[in-house]
Amino acid sequence: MKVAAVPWNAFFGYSFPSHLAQRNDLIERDTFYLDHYEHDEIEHSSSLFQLLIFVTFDAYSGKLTIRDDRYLFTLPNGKYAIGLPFHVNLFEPAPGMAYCSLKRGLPFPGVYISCYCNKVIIPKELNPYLDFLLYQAPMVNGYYELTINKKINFISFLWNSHLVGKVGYRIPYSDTDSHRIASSWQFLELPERDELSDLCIRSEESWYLALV
Amino acid sequence: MVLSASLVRYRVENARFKVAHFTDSLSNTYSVRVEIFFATQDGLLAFSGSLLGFGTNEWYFKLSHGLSYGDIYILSEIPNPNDIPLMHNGDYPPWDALWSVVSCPLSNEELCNLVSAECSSLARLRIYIHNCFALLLRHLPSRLRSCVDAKYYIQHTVNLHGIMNHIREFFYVDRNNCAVWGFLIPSRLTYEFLPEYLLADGSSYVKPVPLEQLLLFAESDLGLNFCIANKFLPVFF
Repeated sequence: MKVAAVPWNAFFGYSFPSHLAQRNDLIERDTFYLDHYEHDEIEHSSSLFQLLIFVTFDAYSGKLTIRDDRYLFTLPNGKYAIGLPFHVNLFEPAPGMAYCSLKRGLPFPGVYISCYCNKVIIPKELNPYLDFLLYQAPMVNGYYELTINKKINFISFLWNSHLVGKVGYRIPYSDTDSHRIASSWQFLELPERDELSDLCIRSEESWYLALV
Repeated sequence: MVLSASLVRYRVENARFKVAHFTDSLSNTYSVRVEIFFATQDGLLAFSGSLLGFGTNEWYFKLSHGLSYGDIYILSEIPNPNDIPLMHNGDYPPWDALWSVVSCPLSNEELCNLVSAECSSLARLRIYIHNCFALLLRHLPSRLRSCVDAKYYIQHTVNLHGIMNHIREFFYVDRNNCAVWGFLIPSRLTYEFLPEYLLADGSSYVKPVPLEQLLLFAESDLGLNFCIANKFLPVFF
């Protein structure tokens, strides 16, 4: 499994656009690419950062609301989660990967980059844990393929040697699903929480919004 | 029981933050903490434990202060926000007890009512948090000057109206149930508050830490993690 990664010092400050600008081999008109590496070979590398997209399953009632309810599920290790991580691949969709694209952004001098998350494909072995996706997400050859088509605006946090961005996938819900969704606060009170879901919730501003 | 020393706590009710009564159980309540990070060109400033006088660590990457009942009282009482309230003997109050410079005449119930009224809305809490931020910010260079040499003039009056647009604010919930209001001071302003010649003299109290070293601590310190993400990681357009 090949994943996108960058040298850690290329991703900080203003060096990322210039890092890309120096690599003519990674630029094709208005599209940028990153070097891809075998995941197992770089998982514990201290010199490379892998890009990770954390996709949450947002319960959407069709009303304008600031509530942040999300579908809750358990992972194979028994821990509660509100989303799944996907490594970024800029070349082709693949199970367990987020197929993204880096595009030239604003038409100003310099390199402004927009990052689009186009599609994620959920590994088959997780299907039994995500029964709320049944009839709500397209399945292709036994894989849930979620069309995201959203911009990732910034990196939310660091996790080991990963830079994690967040994006939500909306799932319509009805009141009959209420026992399967949880607010950020309800999630934080659960005993066994998945580490990435926990970080995702904690990095959000919901406590500030809860005072409004 | 001295209520002034107790942290203001919130309880979540119907997805809303409500001030918890001081006699309530602490379980599933959240305190509020102000954290201030000082950016340098390629990292953050670290402050020695001996300068800050709290905790057991040798160095700290942030000024951190939990908002207490006493803080709300003193912040509502300070007539001039540019004064640094000192103890009667002229000493600085402990960082975690800035409220101790003024004895609070209110009963516990009155103080609780004051805090409930003042901290229940975002608009009011924001004012208190910003004043607390300003107070901490004024303390720091003044304390550093007292540690190194008094010959330097330190600009410790902070006009927040002029600088708040340049200070990044971020929010998160810590692992020990603290709702954190973080401030990241850009390097240009860092050197305005703490001039480089002062930093050079106070090197045993303050030191710049480059990013590659900060990364080693980002796993254990959520504030540092989110601060690095805010400050150093690229923003897409």
